[in-house]
Amino acid sequence: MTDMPAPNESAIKIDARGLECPVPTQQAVDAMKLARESCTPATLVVQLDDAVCAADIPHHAQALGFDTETERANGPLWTITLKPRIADAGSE
Amino acid sequence: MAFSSAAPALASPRWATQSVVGAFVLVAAVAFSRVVGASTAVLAPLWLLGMVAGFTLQRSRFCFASAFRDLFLFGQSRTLNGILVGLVITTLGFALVMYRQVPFPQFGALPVEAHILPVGLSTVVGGVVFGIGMVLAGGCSSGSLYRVGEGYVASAVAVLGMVIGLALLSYQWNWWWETIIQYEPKIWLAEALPGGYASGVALTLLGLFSVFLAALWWETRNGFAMPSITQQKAADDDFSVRGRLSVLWRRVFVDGWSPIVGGAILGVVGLLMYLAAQPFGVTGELSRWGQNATEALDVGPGVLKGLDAIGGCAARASQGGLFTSTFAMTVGLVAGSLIAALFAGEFKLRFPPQRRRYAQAMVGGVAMGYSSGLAIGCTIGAFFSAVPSLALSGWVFGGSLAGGAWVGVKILRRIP
Repeated sequence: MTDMPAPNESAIKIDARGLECPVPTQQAVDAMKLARESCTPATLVVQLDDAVCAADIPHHAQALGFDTETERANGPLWTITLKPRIADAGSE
Repeated sequence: MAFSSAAPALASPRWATQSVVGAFVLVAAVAFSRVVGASTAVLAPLWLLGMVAGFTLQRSRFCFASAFRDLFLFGQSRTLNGILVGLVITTLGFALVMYRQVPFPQFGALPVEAHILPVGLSTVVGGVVFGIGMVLAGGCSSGSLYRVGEGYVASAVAVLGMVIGLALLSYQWNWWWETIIQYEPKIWLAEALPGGYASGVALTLLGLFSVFLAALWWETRNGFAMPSITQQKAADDDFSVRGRLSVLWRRVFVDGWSPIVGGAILGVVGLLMYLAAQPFGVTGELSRWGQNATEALDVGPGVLKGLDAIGGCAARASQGGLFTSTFAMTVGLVAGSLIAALFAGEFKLRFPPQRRRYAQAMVGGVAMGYSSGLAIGCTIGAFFSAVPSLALSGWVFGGSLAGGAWVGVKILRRIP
C-alpha cells in the first residue's frame, strides 16, 4: 500500500470482493450516481477482485464526473478511489 | 482528468511464484503444440494462435457480453470499439483470403471455410437466446472460457452448461433442420450485391461505422459525455536498463491492455487462423464434448442431418479423434488465458460467495449452448468470424444478440 491516498473518514467504502462482473461495476456506478445527487459528493473507495470490472469502473467513472486512482495489491485485488470532480459533479 | 494507477513491486513472493509457474506452463503449452500437431501439422499453429487469443482476451479484459450488455446496463460500453476495430481488420483480411479461393463470386460458389451461415428464424432465435444467456451467465462462450483460465469456478459451470445445452439441441436438431434451417438461404454479400467483393467490403465497413456512430449517439443520449481518459502513468524516472525493462514488463504482462489493442490483436489472430486453416470458432469443440459424452453413455442423438451442407462450427463438431482444429483453438484459448493470468499474478481459484450464482451460470450456459447450436456458432463463430466472411447471418446474429442482451438486462435487474 504505497501511494494510497490518506484514509478519508468520509469516504464511502464498497466491498465488492468475491463478486463477479458486472456486479462490482453496478455497485460502483449506482454509488457514484447517488453521490452525485449530494451537493458535497463523497469520495468512494471500491475494493474488488474482478479484473474486467477493475478496468470498467474507471471508464464509467470518467463519464460520471469522477477522477480515479487504481491501486493493485499483490494478487488479484484492486482498490479504486473515486473522487468527485467537484466543479462538474456539484453543479448537476 | 486524472486517471492513475499504481501496482505493487514486481518482486513480491506471490508474483514471483505465479510468474515462475506461468513460465513453466508457457513452455509446456508451446511444447504441447508438437503433440497436438503430431498427426495433422496445421493443428500446431492453430493451437499457438488459440493461446495468443486467450492471452489477448485476458490481458485486454475483453468481453463480448459486456460490449452488448453494458450499453443497456450502464449506457456505455468499454469493449465495443475494440470489437469494431477487430472486425475492420478481419473484414479486409478475409476478403483477400476469400478472393484467392473464389475470384468471381457471382457464379454462386461459396468459399469453403468461410462462416457464411444460413440466415433466418434460427439466426434470430439463436441470437436472442444467446444474448439472454450470456448476460445471465456473466460472459459469452469465449469470455467464460478465458475466465476458466483465471480460476473462476462459476465460469466453468457456464461452460459445462453450454456443453449440456449443445447436447440438448442435438436431440432436436433434425426437427430444426427439416422444418426451418434447410430452407434458409446462405446470403453472401459478395455474391448478392452487384460489384462483388468491393461492394460487400464497402457495405460491411459502412455497417461497422454505423454501429460506431449509433453507440456514440446512444452513449451521449444517456447523458454521458464521451470521456477522454488521459492516463497519468506512474512517473517512470528510472532510466536504467533494468528500470525500463521493468516498466515494459509491467505494461505487457501486468497492467491491462486497452480494448482497442485487444480487438486489433484478436482480428489479426482470427485472420491468421483463417489463413492457416479456418476462421476462429469455439462452439464446435464444446459440441463435440457433448456428443462424445452422450455417445459414451449410449444415448447419442443419432445421425444429424444437413451438417455437411452448413459449414461453420457445425461441420467441425463431427471431427473424430482427440486433437482436432476445434480442440486446438478452444483448449489453446484456456491455456493462453491461464498463462496471462499467472504472469499478471491474477490467477486465483474463485468460488462465488452466493450459491445462486451457480444456478445463474448453469441456466445462462444451457441457454448459450442450445442457441449457439441453433445459430451454428457463438459470439465468435457466428459473429466475429461471420461478419468478415461478408455473411448476412453475422449481422442478423449480432443484431439479435443486442436484442437478447437488452432482455437479459431486464431479467438481471429483477434478480435481487
